[in-house]
Amino acid sequence: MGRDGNLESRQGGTAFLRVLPAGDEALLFSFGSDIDPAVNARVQAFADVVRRAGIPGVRGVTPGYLSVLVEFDGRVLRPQDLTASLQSLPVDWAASPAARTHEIPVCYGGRHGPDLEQVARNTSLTPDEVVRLHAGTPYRVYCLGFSPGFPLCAPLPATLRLPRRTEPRTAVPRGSVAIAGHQTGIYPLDTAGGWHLIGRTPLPVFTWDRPDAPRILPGDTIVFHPIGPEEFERLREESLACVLERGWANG
Amino acid sequence: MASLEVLRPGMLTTVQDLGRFGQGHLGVPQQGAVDSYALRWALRLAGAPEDAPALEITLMGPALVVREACFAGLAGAELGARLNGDPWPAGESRRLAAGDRIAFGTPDRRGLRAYLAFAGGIAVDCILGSRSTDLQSRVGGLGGRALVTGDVLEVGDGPGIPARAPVPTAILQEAVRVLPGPRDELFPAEALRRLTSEPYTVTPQVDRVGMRLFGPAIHGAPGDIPSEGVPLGAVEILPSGQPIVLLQGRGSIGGYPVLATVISADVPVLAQLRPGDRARFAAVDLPTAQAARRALEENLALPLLSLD
Repeated sequence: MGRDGNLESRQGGTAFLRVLPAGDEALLFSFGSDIDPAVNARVQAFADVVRRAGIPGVRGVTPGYLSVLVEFDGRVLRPQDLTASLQSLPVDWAASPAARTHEIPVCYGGRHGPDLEQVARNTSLTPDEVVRLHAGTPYRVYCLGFSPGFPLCAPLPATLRLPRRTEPRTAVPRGSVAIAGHQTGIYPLDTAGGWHLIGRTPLPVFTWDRPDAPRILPGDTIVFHPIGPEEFERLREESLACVLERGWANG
Repeated sequence: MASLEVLRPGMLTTVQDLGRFGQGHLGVPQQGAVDSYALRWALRLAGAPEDAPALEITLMGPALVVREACFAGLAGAELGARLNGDPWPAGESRRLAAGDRIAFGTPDRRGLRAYLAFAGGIAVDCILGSRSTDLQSRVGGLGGRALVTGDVLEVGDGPGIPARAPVPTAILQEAVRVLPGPRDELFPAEALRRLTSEPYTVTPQVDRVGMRLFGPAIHGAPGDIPSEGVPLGAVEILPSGQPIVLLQGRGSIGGYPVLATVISADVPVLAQLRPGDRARFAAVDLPTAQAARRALEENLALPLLSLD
C-alpha cells in the first residue's frame, strides 16, 4: 500500500487523500495541508462514516483539522486490510454530519476573563472592541481535544491573534473562554492551560456519563454571545439545578 | 466483596485498565496501563478478564492490608514487593487472607511500573467504556486521582491457584523500534537518521502522558502543525529539537509533528524506562513490527507454571 490513494466517492468527485502510517496500530488519513472549512468538512464526513461502520478491531477515530487518525487493534486488523475496507465505504462528502449551531453566553472580562485587558493592550484595541470582534464571528468547531470536550474553534479575527501565554496557568476554571493564535475555545474542565482567558460561560460544555447528552461536536458552529455578571450568575444557578436534577457528573 | 485498605499510597498508584478507547472524537484521552503487556500478565495471573482494571504502581509502591480474602497477580517491574515480609516476585500470583500485608520496598535497579490485579477486578465506575484513571481530567478509577492513605479498594474474589509466568513480565531493554511517520516527510531527510544514530537519555520529565528524552537534537522540524490525532508511541520533536514520546495519558490531539511512532511491541519497553536510563531507537518496517507483536502475543498465551 503506497502513501497516496484515490478514494472514489460514490456520490461523485474524487476525494484525494493520503494514507500515512502511524505505527502498526494506527493510520492517519490526510485530506489537505491548509486549514479550510471544506477540507475539515471532508475530515468530519469521513470520520463519521468510519466511526459508524463498526469495523471489528477499529478502536478509535479521531478527527483533527486536516486528518483523521484511525486506531485499531493490531491483533485483529492489518493496516493494509483496514485501508481496503475504508476505501470501500460509501462516504457522502457533501453531507455534513448533523452539524448544529451553539449559542454560548459569555461574561467577558473582570474575574471571568482575567486576560481581557492584557489582550486589549497587546492588540492595540479597547476591551470592548476585543469583545465585539470575538463575539461578532461564528466559528467552526474544527475538532475537539487538549482536554475532553474542548472545542478548537477557528478562524479568530486576525487582529485578535496572539501567541500563547509564556507562562501557562496551572489551574483554569471550567467554562473559561480563551484565545490563542488563530483559535478560540472553551475549557470544559478545571485543567491547566496556556491560552488567554477573556471570558467565561456559565453553561456546562462537557458531561461524562450521559452518552446522549447534548454536546459540542466537530463540524458544529459556535457563536459567542456577551452577557453581564448578573446573567452569568442566574444561568449558572439554572444549569447547576439542571445538573443536580439530571445527576450529571460533570468532570 | 473482598477489600483492601491503603496504608501508604506509594509515589503514584492508580487504577488502570487497557484504556478508554473510541472517544477521540470527543477529545477524551485514551489512558490505560502504560505497560499493557505487564497489565495483561497481572490479569492472567489473577484469573481476571482482560478488560478488568488493576493497580498501576510507579517505582515506589504502596502498602496495603487485606480485609477479606482474595486472589491477586503481580507483574511488571520488580519494585520490592513483599507479602507479610516474604518476597513476592513480579510474575507470580498469591492467595491473600484477611490481615495479610502487601508492602512494596526498594525497587530493583531497572524498571518503573508494576501491576497488581485481583481475580474479580477492582470495583470502580466505568466511565465512557473504561475504569482507567485520567489524572488530568480528574475522572475514572478512584475519584479521578491516585490512591491516598485510607482508601479502601473493593475487589472481586475468584478461585485461583498460585502460579508464575513462564517468561519475564517486564521487558527491560534500551532498544526501541520505531516506524517512520506519520509526519516524517515534514522533516529534513536526515532527521530519522539522527533519531536512530545515538542513544537518548530519559530525562526526569517522565509521567503517564509522555517522556522527554535528551540526545542528538533534530533540527528543521516545521514547528506547530494544525492539531491532529496522535498515535500511542508518537515521537514528537519539540521546538528545542529534543524528542518526547507520547504514552497512554497523552491528549487525543497534538500540534507538534510526529517524526516516528514506536511499534506496539516496544511501548512496554518505554513504560519501564526510568529517568537516567538510555533508549536507542531503531527504524524497522511494518512486517518486523507485526512479527514483534505476534511474538509478544505468543508469550502471553504460554501456560502458567503452578507454584504448588
